[in-house]
Amino acid sequence: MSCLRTLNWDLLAEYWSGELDEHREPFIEEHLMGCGLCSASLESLVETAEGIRTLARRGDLRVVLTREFLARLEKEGLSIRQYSPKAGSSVECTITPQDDMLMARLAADLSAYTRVDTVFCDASGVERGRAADIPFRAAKTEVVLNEPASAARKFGHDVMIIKLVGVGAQGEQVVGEYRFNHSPSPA
Amino acid sequence: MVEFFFVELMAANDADVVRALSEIPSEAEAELCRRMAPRVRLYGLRHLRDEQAAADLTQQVLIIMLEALREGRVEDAEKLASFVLGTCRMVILDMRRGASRRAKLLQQYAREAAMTMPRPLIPPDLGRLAECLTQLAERERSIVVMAFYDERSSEEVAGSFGLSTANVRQIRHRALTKLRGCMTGGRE
Repeated sequence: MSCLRTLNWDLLAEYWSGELDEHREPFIEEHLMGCGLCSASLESLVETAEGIRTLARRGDLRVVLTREFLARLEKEGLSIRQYSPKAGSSVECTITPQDDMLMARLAADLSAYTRVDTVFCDASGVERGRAADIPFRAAKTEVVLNEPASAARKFGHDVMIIKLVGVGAQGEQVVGEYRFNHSPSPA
Repeated sequence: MVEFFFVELMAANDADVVRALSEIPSEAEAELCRRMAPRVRLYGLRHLRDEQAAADLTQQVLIIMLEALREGRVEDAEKLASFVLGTCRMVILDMRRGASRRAKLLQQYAREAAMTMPRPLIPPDLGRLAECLTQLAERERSIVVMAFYDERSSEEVAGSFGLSTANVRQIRHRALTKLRGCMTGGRE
């Protein structure tokens, strides 16, 4: 079979995660078996997926996850340091060499919002970064944020304020503010 | 009849390599194994989700393919991919039944099959990948990480974030397009 139309990563991802229906899957498999170009593209997708798994296990990505996903990581034996400050409160935090990942679990009622941003501020409240339009489930009352572990290990005594900001018809509204007082690991 | 030389085999299509078996059998067999091994391994990884099982599948399928080619049972050179795909399905069924009826064949063809095992999967440059992931929008990054961490379907990821499956597919599509563009530096 020649490759007149190469398969894109999107279709290959659907194939890889078993989402194709029973009519399309055999067609795609036949093409992959006869086409070196498309099978090499699938190989590259699979290698990228492996890279993403490696980065996620190392905790090297700032990414919003879910409680269920967190539970699965813990079940795999990863050591996850978690902090769950209440809105308006502060927490003393660190990361040790034994920790694989660092998570902030931010409780808030987000049910009134269709868009939520995470805003990162310094000790004086000045905005230093923003993660716009994070994924969240309104029915759940928590945002699970994975902070890059390798970067956190380099911090000295530092303060980071994270705000959950709801964006609605009335403009922006701070839904929750959480203060993290970081100290380097004594180890 | 076209005369094949080793270097020409590399550029020929699969069917032409099958046709070359009558002229330069060992070179053509080696080339077919080199081409089919990674494809069979991917099929195995997709259906068995286990590297060792995928490697076993690859070896068994290559052995059956070589045997069929030598016995002239692949009559239409254009149908080699269909033959190999059918063999993959059959061998996986056998593996799931726990059957091991290939000892004799293994003895006869193991050397050729073992020599052409595909290279191991090589994760991309992790620094570059992390950089590319950082450039994605928040929803795109979350969905790509959760989808690929353990090969979760769009439906499962959608359930986790309270999104529709169609929405997750759309976000994943955007994310993969950006990620591929970033990883290849726009070369594709």
